[in-house]
Amino acid sequence: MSNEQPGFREIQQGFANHIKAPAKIACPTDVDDRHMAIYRDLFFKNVMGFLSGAFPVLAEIIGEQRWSIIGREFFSSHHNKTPYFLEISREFLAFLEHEYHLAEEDPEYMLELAHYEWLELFVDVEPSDELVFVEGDLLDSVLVLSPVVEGFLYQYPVHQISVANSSPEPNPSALIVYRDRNDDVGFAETNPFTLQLLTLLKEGGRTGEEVLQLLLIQNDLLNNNAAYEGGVGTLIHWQQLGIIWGCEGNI
Amino acid sequence: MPNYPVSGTGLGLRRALLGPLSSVSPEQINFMEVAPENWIGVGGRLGKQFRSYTERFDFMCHGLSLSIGSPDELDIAFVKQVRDFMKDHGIKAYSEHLSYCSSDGHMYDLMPIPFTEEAVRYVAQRIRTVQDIIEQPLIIENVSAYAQPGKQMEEIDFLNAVIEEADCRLLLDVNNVFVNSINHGFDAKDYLGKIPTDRISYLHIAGHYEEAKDLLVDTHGASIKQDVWDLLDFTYQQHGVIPTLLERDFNIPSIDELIREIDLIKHAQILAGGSDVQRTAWF
Repeated sequence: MSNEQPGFREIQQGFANHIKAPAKIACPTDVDDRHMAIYRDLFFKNVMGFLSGAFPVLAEIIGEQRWSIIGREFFSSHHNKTPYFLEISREFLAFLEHEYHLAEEDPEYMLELAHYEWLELFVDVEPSDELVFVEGDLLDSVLVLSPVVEGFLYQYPVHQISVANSSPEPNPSALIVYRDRNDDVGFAETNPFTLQLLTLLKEGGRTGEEVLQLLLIQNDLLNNNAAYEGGVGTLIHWQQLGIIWGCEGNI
Repeated sequence: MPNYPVSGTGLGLRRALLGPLSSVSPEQINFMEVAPENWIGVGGRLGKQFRSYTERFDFMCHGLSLSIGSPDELDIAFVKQVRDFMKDHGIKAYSEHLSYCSSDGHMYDLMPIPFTEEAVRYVAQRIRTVQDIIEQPLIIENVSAYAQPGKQMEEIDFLNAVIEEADCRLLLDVNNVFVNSINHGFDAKDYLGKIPTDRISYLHIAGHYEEAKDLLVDTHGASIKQDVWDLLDFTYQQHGVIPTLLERDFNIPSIDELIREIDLIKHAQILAGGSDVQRTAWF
């Protein structure tokens, strides 16, 4: 054992481990530090580029130094499964959710803001089938929803957070992020009640009238005219925004 | 008779170029290349824009995440996704780096495989597995490196041994040969002379960054250096006029400037014996 050379795979693992965590894992013995530094810098800058590109608001709020420490922890400890570059942001989100421990200086809303920033990217690029839809009566026709639309109830107003507004009070915020008819990403602020409407619409195959009646039944509001009229208003508004693309045509 | 998957001169397509390149014709840029890792599973606005390119231009896949030399297991599901992506877009062939980019998870950049006999056998076996799935030869590329950990043989011997044992094709990156000749002290022309002509599928050329006199970094962020132009001429003399693609990933200049650099490659091809299409007819 003593004189045996390590196999090439052990050499590779040592090389990679040093790049991931240079402060903890020594530089390979047969590579000088000046050359190894090229790898260390290239890799880390590359990963930080992906993270800062996907989470620009969070990166700016956290600040360069702390962001780089979090990025190093991600790069050195998280097992990245995806070969796809746009999905590195999803890996980072999984890291924040399951592996990262919030430090005292980190904002409480860190995970929620990261999720919201990831969602914008997701809605922009998620593949979808070509939809066929026509203009029609929203109440009588089966509705065609945007092919990529997600709604979440956040505990913080993540859509309003910025460097200038980096310490918001918790305030439950129901947000919808969607792809509109021009393939642009749209945002809508709503409430938990209408998030429920979105869930029913996503199940598909229902007319506006059917969806509204179901929503009213689920909330013990059957025959509540104000609630019904509010629902009709929401459907019309969502059609204008492009959350609802249109109606199914006659076959 | 050379059998190239594409012809003429090409350019690596990046997302930032989707808008600027929209009015360029296949006569100006004969083929393009993309990293499948940037486009698989991408729909919406970007996905549509991308398809408008694959409908107009001949395309190559130039992968980044296959990690053919990795200590981690080969990602078979990923290879199948690349195969399906190529079919979906009519992409001609698949090239990847003779390198690895993962070890206990992906690291998203390229590391040097130790040049050993054991590594030759390991990598060749994995290339064969990939070739079985994609049902065509894999084209492997010589990579630039800033270190040679665990080296037991010369780079050129390692490269040739892998190609031979895997029975695969070669994407010869002329800039990488130059970068490595400076970083590791070998004769670039000697290296190029030892490349088996009939294995070459196409060439890459790019600019690099001079970190120090004896340490070059393959950044794809500058115009092509004169030393590398000279090596391109030498490669054409040695191996014939071969389809050649310009890589430019950072500090991307205007389209006019990119086209000018591509035209210089065309010029070099003509000086060396015409376009590769004409050249084919000579054999």
